[in-house]
Order: sequence, then C-alpha cells, then structure tokens
Amino acid sequence: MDKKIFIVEDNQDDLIIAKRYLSHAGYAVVFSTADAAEGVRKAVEEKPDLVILDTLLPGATGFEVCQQIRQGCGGLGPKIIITTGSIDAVDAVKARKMGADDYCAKTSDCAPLLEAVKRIFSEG
Amino acid sequence: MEGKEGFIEDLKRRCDNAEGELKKARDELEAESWGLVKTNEAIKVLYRELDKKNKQLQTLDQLKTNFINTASHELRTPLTVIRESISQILDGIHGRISSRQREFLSICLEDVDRLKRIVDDLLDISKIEAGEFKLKKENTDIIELVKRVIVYFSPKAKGLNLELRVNFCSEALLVCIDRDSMIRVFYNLIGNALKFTAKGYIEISVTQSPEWVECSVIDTGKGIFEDDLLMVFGKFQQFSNAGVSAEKGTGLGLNISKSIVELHGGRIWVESTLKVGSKFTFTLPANSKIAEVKDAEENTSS
Repeated sequence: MDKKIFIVEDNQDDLIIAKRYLSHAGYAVVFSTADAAEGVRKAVEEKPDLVILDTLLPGATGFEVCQQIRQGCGGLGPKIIITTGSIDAVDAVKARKMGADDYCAKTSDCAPLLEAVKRIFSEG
Repeated sequence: MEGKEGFIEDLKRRCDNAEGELKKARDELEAESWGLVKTNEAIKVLYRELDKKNKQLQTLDQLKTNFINTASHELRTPLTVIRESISQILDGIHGRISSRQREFLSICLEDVDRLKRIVDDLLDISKIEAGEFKLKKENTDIIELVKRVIVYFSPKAKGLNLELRVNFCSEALLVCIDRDSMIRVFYNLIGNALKFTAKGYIEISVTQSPEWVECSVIDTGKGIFEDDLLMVFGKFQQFSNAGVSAEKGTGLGLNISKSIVELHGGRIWVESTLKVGSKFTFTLPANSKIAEVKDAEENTSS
C-alpha cells in the first residue's frame, strides 16, 4: 500500500527537490502547502502516514506545527519528520520534545531525508 | 501490626513513585541524548552542504573572471583601432571636416575613451581577482609623484573654480611602490573628489610616521550617505549624489584602488560628513628607509 506523505514547506525550490527525490524513491507526496495552519488542519483531518515539516515557516515554526498536529490528534497521529536548511535553526532536542519522530538537515540531494523516511517506514 | 503494614505499604508506594520518576528521567535523558546526536549530525551535514555550495560558487566566479578577461581583450583591439581612426579624422589628416562633423566625432572620441577605461578597469579587476596583477615596486619619491598628478588635474580644477591644496610632510619622501599603480590610485581619488565637489577645495596630504606613509584626499563636496560608506570600495558602485562634472565613472575605480593599496601592504578607508565633505585616506608601509639601512649595514659588514 502506498504511504501518504504531506509536506509543509514554504520554499518552492526545496519543495520541488523533495517531491522529486521522494517520488523517485517510490513515495507519493499527496499534499503540500506553505501555510502552517493549513498543514495542521489537513494533517489532523486526513491523518497521513507521514508529515515532513520545514523548521522556518511564515508565521510559525515547524516545532509549533508539530506540537499542534500532536495535540490535534490526541497525542498520536502521523509520523513527523522536521527538516532544516539553516545551521542557526538546528535543534533536534526541541523537535523531539514537540513530538517529532525524526529530524534531519535539508541538502540538495535529499539523502538525509530519504534515509529518515526509509527508517520511519521500516520501523512501521 | 497495623502500624507495620502501613509502613510497608507506604514504603512500597514510595518505591513505585521513585521508580516512575526514574523511568521518566531516563526517558527524558534518552530523548535529550537522541536530540543531541541528531543536532550534531544535522550541523555536520549542513556544513558539508555549505562547503559544497562554496566550491560551486568559486568555480562560477572563476568562469566569470575568465569570461571578462577574454571579452575585455577582444574589445580592446577594435576600440584602439576606432580611437585611432577618429583621432586622425579630427586631426585633419584625411582632409578638412566641418565644425558639425568635428562636434559629433569629438563626442564619439569621448565615449570611446570612456569605453576603453571600462575595458581597462575590467581587465585589471580580472587580473587582481586571478592574482595576476603584479606590482613593479621601486623606491619612488611619492611627493614628486603627487605633484605630477596635481599638474594633470590643475586645469580641470581651475575650470571648475576649485582650489587644489597640498600638505606635504617634507620636500621628498621615498617609498617602495609601483609607480604606475600608485598614480592610478591618486587619479581615482582626486578625480572622484573633483567630480563630487561643487565649491571649495581639494586637499592632498602626505604625512609620515615611523611605520607608515599616510596619504589623504580631502574634499569639501556633498559627502557620502552613511549607508553608502560601507559600499564605496565595492565593485560597480556609483555614488548616488550626482556630481558637478558630467563625466561618468566606471564604478570600478575605488575597488581597483583598494586592491592596489592592499597589494602594497597598506589600508584604505573613507570618512565623510554630508554637506561637509569626504576624506579618503590610505597608508603605505614606510619600508624604503628600512631597506636603505639594511643595504648600508650589508655594505659596512662586507
């Protein structure tokens, strides 16, 4: 069964790269948005298998979005990976506290993200 | 008996609580440890990514330098031919020309000269960036050098009704410099000062300390906006406060001047107050004297 993946990312270039690499690896990104509130609403409503969050979003941080999804789903909900492309914003301790399942850096070849996605789905 | 049982119950409850707290602390510690490992990993990856991007940018920059170099060389040759042809016509070598023709050809010549200056500047910039700009340093009397530059600018200053003042620390001062490059720095600084000063004076001063020779070009022009001060030595920077003279610069002069001063081991900076004026200062190592002393010592010992 195909896994449903959502992406909340405001940088169009980063979004295109992530979608391309994920689809090449056999995953389907069924929904993406740059809007944090919309991301939370859709994730809570549709409960995808995985939500990939950018750290720096307009109006909210990926940490906040992660926490709101967890709260909205009553503590459980989809698997969540938080990503960052900024050295200044790296904080995996905070990501875990807010309920993220994994955390990785954004790169031009998406290697860390693909590894994290594979790990999450193999863990079940 | 009851007291004993109560005591055991209490002990058990306390043990359970302590165990719960211990588990909670262990979970928190594990989460913290996981977070730190992931943070470390992400930072390493991001630094590698930055390094990769930096190398890509350096390659692009090199390509750009090569392109400018080639393009400039290709432009320079036809420009020289055009300039020479126009000059010959203006000089009347190929027959008489009307005043109207002379007027238009003079405009052509001015613009060809400007284009040539831009091409020369671009070539110099690409040489500087490629590390191929070599200085031919020799002991030079900097006072005499400045005086020559002033002679060149005197008619222009007179025409603009500006006074050219000098303030020299001595009659002659030997410094180990590349003469042509240093003339260029003074041309740029004095040329700019003339361009942006409507009234008052331009003062060129040369002073000396044991370690440095300090040269300044002071003007009573419009001054430079504070925001522009940080960028004046950047490439293709044109002052936003338009000058008095119509002659347009290339926006590369101060960048080249900065590179020349730094290649000499000196430093250049600017101070400016709006509506009062600007002061461009650069330093050069006062090393010629040291060289002379060393020579003298060697002569004595041999």
